[in-house]
Amino acid sequence: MKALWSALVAGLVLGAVAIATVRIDTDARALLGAESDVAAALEGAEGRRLLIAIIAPDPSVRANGVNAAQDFLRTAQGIEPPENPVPLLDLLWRARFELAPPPPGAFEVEALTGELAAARASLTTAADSLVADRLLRDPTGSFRRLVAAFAQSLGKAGAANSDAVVMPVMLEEAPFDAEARRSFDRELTDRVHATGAEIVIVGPRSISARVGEVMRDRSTLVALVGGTLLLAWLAYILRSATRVVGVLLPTLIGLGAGTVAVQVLQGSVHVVALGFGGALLGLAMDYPLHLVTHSGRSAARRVLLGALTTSIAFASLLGSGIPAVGQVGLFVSTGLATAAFVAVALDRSTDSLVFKGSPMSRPQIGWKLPGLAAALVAGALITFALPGPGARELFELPSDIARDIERVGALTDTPPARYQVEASAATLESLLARQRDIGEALDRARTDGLLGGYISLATRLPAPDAEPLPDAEALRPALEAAMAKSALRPEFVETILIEYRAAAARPPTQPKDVAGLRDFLAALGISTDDLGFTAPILLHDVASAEELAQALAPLDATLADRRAGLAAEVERIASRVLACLAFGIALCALLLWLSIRVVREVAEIMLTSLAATATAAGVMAIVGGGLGVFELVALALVMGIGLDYAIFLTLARTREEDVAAVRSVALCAVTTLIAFLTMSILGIGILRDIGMTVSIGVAAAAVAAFARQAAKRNGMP
Amino acid sequence: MSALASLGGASPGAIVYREEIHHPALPEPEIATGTMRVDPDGSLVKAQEFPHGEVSAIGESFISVRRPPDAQPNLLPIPDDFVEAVEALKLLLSGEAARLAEIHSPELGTGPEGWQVLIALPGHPMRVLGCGDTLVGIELREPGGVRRLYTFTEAR
Repeated sequence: MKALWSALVAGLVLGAVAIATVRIDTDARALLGAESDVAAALEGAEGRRLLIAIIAPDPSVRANGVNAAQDFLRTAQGIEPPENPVPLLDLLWRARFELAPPPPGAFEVEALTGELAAARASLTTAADSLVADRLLRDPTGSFRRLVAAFAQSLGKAGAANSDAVVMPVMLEEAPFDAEARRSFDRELTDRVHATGAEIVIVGPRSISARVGEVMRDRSTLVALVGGTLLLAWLAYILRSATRVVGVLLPTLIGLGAGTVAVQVLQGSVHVVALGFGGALLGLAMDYPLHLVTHSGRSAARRVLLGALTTSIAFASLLGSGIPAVGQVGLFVSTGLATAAFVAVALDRSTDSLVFKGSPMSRPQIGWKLPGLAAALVAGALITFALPGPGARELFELPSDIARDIERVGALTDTPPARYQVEASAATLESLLARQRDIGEALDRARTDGLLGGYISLATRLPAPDAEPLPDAEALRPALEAAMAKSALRPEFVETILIEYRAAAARPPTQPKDVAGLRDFLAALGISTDDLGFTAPILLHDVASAEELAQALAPLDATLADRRAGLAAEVERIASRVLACLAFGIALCALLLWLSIRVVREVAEIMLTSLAATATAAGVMAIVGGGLGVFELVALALVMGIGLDYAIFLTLARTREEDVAAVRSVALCAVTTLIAFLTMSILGIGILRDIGMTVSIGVAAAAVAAFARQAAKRNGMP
Repeated sequence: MSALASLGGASPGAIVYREEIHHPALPEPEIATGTMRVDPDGSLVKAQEFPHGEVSAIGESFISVRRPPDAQPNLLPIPDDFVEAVEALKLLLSGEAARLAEIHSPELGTGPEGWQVLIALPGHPMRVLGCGDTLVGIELREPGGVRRLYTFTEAR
């Protein structure tokens, strides 16, 4: 009892230290490493871009919502002053006939008069005052159409849907801070909601912060529900408060030790590592449960052997090179080892659990080892035959966030596009011509049902059904008539014609002409180099990438998968995690051999664990269409659980040990299943996947370990 | 610059303005009327009433334009070369005209109703018109020959 009190005090001190010192890190970059392309994207211009959509069918509610958002944005910290629109306006003015040549009919008196009237009215409209003079100088309407096409690039709020207003905002260049982002988004959301309007905020940083928040909330829910269920289960099965405390204390001290170790060695604890606290609950609790159901000394040795092998498997993750995965390795290995030692130290503090009823008899199977080997091979074959480890995306966005992205995509007329075709040309004019050529092939492919649609610089611009520009003198009579009808000074015709001649004679735009506009162009996906311009054509709802690639081949246009970079990065992570686990498994086998020195027993323990792991991997690969990085990490836990169960059931030397092992393994399996089934039912995304992986693995490990190899050993009753 | 320094403080409410917009294409200037004020948060608020209603609030980086409920509100960036003109307008309307003389090097002359001060703001030369300690008007010149003349008549 004294040891129990000492452990309780030690646990409280450790808990207080952990709570006082821990700094929880929710930065998604820790999953990929700060050097990765994806992590770098959060710091780049595209990562700092936000789109804020204010949605309300009622115009006055919508206006109030926009006003509330504007009031907030005008004074909010961390907003970058908007880009000066003048350089872009200058380019649009100079290249107006190249980008938006006047359509047929634009030179008729009626059309010219209409443009002049609108231009005149724009002098007294604040939103147009910056362009009013040029609108009067270009009654062909080319400049007006371009300004409308690039409204969002010029900083104007707008939307494709009349129920909404979309405002582009650029965040200041500062390191990504998830908490600051959440606080900004929350305050903006509250202000807009107060007006009765709806708001959707989309942008890499906001989404990253929101995913972190959702995961944290779900983790809390899983921990609360799972913890309550576990507590109720332990109280029911152990029937003594002292035993419950004796079982929980090693786990809690293990959690504290894992947290403090990661905090001290890494400077912060990533939320993913904390999430794997569930792994500790699932396994660390097994150790005192084994001890409380066994009366002999041998159980302590097996607990330490199980903990040591599993800790080694997890410690191998430190070599993964992925900060968050490395933290999981350190957290779980430290926590498990600590929990096992505390459980052994407290072994005699509580009385053993005595079960009533006759012991369960284990079936004897002569082909257990070949069966396990077959299960291992089958599971591995399924796993690698399907898309393979690392085939799944690192994150699957929670459905509400994915829905928000889709909504804003629809409002800005930019549905999510996985594929793209790049077009390159020496001038803007030839770039547009190239995009239109490819566009014709894409239109045919759309008719054939190969894709839903596409977006490019060319599609943003007014339709190109232009006729050759008339000579300035040929334009004069219509222009003079329009000026007269508009009651404007007739002598201003000369100014208009001078501007017309200059624009018509201007050579096509080259990269040197847009030197100051790189940010604007980058926002449109356009890049420049010495050779010219490169711009993507984004394709959405692609039904058959292969057939589409064939349709584009005659044009020498290549279809590219925009997710290929991220997919390659995830595959790289997955292969590193796999290599680490393989190394850890080899170390486990070596440790078992050094400890047991009986080949058949070591083989049975390893095969039991590996068969359970392969089964869980195979099932998850079938259910999820491949394995993700977090399923791989969860498989390390399945490996540890399998080793634990197999050590107790395989090494039972007497009838009494065998009965106690069956009971303790059954108890442990139910306890672990409670924790991980809760996670798979209540969790989302990676939490759900981890929960499912471990639940399947625990069930497989229990079944695999339960069957007894026939003629197991001499001396067994 | 004593003429600017002599200008009275901001009127407690908004001042009524009449805007004449001169453009080389127009035989007569376009006319707009409304009120102007500087809000406590430093925003210059221009509430136009004629020829159509709209409220422009010019903050540090953005101009928010609010139209009647049936029209779409808008948020616009302030062009770089307009920033100094906006700041000058805010100082004039908030009774801190003397600071203008410290920042710029105004040129004093005789105006149509009293004195005038020319301020060479880049891209937007400004002419401040006054009579005694009263601000009579402000004229802004824009690229393309556009000239906006605001005359202030009374406080509301």
